[in-house]
Amino acid sequence: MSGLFTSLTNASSALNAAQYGLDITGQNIANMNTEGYARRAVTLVEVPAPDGKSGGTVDIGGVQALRDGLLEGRLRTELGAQGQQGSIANALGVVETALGSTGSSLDASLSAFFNSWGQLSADPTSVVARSSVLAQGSQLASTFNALSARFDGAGQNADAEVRSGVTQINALAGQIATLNASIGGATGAEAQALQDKENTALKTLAGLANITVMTRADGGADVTIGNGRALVVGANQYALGLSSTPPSGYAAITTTGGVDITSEMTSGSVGGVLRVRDTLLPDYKSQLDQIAFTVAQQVNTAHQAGYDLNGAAGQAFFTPIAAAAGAAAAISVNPTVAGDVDLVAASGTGTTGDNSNAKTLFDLQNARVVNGTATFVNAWSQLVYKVGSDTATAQTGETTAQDVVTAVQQLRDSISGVSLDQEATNMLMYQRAYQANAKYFNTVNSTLDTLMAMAGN
Amino acid sequence: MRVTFNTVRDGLGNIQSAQEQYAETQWQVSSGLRVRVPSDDPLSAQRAIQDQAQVSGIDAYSQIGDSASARLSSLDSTLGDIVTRLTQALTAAHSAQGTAVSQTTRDAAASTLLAARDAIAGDINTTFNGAYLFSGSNASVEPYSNGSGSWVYQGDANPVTVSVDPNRTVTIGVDGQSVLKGSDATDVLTTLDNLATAAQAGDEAGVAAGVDALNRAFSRATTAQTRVGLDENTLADGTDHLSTLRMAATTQLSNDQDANLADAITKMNQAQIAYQSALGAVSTASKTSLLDYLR
Repeated sequence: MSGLFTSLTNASSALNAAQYGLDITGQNIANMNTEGYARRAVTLVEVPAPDGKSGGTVDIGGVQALRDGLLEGRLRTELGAQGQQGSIANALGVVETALGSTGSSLDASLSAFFNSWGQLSADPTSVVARSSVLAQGSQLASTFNALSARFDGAGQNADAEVRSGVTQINALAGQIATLNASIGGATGAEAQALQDKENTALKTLAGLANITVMTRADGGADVTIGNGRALVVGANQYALGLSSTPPSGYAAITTTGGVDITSEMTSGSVGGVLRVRDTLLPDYKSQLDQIAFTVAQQVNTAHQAGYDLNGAAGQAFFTPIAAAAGAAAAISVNPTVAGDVDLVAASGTGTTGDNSNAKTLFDLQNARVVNGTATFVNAWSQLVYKVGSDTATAQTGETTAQDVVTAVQQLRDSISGVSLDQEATNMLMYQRAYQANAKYFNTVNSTLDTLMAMAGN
Repeated sequence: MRVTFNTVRDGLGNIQSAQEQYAETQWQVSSGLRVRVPSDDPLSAQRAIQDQAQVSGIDAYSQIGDSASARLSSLDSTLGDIVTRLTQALTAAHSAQGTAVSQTTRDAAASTLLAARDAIAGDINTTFNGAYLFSGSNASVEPYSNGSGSWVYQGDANPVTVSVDPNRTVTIGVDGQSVLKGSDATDVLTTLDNLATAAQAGDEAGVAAGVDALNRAFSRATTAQTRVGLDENTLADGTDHLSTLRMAATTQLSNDQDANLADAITKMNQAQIAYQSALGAVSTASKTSLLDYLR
């Protein structure tokens, strides 16, 4: 009698195991599209008969979340590279659009301005030609002003992204610290679910900044940022700070202790926008300023060497600018000259019909005066090339990083991903196991009924 | 390797990539341009700016040439008229030479000479768009005036030139004194005044001296007109040269920024097929599962 009851118990245990297997299969299928979910695998363990003679059964050994720490780490690294290149490409994509198209941007304004001096040289006393010089000079200054403002705007956008990125980093770090606390007190399925969430948060964080993750003994994670600055240690978060720095007002990123770690942020989307904000845009702006400064300087020098229609020495055509920095934003036609067409100094001798100074200014467009090596248009084309080249490099880098991320993701999924075909197979396997065990249960039960009937007789 | 199919990540990524290529080639075909933003081809974008500046520079020279051409035409016709007037004056002066010439003839010759003087004075003070053509660079001042009873040149000796291409210049403002006076002691207007007086008075020596001076003035005027003619030829040559340069620059600009339409259309068709294939592949793959076979 005791043997048949044991058999019933064994069958019940086997039914439980098959049902659990079905549950886990269901969980896997349900989460096949859940970000960060690692496939669960049921471990079944054999339970031998206590007396060593009657039949044994099966028990649930546990459920394992299938993860590869190395691949998860590699994925975070590549996500950082992808985030950096992607944010650079996005930011520069806006910048290069702001440069304007060929023939309708600064190149066109430069050509129109200097060519207006050519027109004036053909008719040096013409009021129309003089007005045209002033109008084109004003247009050129406006183009410089607008481009400078667009670069400033791009810098401010990048700064806003830095601030937003740091806010996200802090939010994620807080989330990870909370999860660490929860993981420490959790076991089994709950701990695994928390680790899935933490992995997702770590991946998002890696896309934002260069972090290093150290797995804790309890399955949680400690995180450092930049050059090993603590961000999360156990349940403690060390939030990053933001402080506006003069004169730009751009944000510097600081640790909880107040150390400026802006220069340490080299990867992730925050690292990317920092590179755009602090390195690339200032470089572009500096080149634009240099062109504007040289235009103002050279035109003023030539204009002041000439004579206006009244025979007086020419005044500065553009309002004098002291230094190259900020020249593109500051350049404007001297209001005194702008208010009187007679003050345009076309003459090189003081006589009204002389056009030698207008010719000098017309020819200035072909002089290699920007840094002593390039004409104005050449210098502008070099800047356009630099922006285009940097953007193309970032776009290529993003594509490459995306390919690497996809490859690593596929490797990671080969271990952690859910295969619907595999789950279908498992489902069938557990279903069949359940059916067989149920049949076995019925058989034992029927045997017991027979035995009971015999006892009743 | 164990393969798991992630429809969202793998499939959508491929669809987007194919769609992006399709959109790009479609833009090239519809716009006719190959470079939309500098990052499409930084080097071509850089060259296109320089090509465009080259075209603008050539157009500027062309516009200067157009303006210079009108001035040169005016100079040419004015100098032609001066030559005509000098010829008439010479004829009149010759008619007054000789002892047998009647006073009536002498008076008529004197009248013709004074009329020629007035005509030449008018010619030499010709303006173009309000600027005097024969004042040298002093274009706002009348070249010759006779306010105090004698003819005075008020311009300067600096001719005004303009560049009609990078290596060619033409003169658009002439030193009037070099035409009417040259190295003579008096200008031709004064000469005509004196000649009229001499012709009327029967001053044979005075008429002879005046005829000599008129011949020299005639020579100077025809030389000046020849120079203007040469400048007009220079301008015509320059215009042809600029046309050639412009064509070369626009061809280069087109090479740098325009799409090869045949190539772009081919690529667009390829991209369209790739896009359709990606859509088909994802929809097919997402339909296939072991679950379909488990009944």
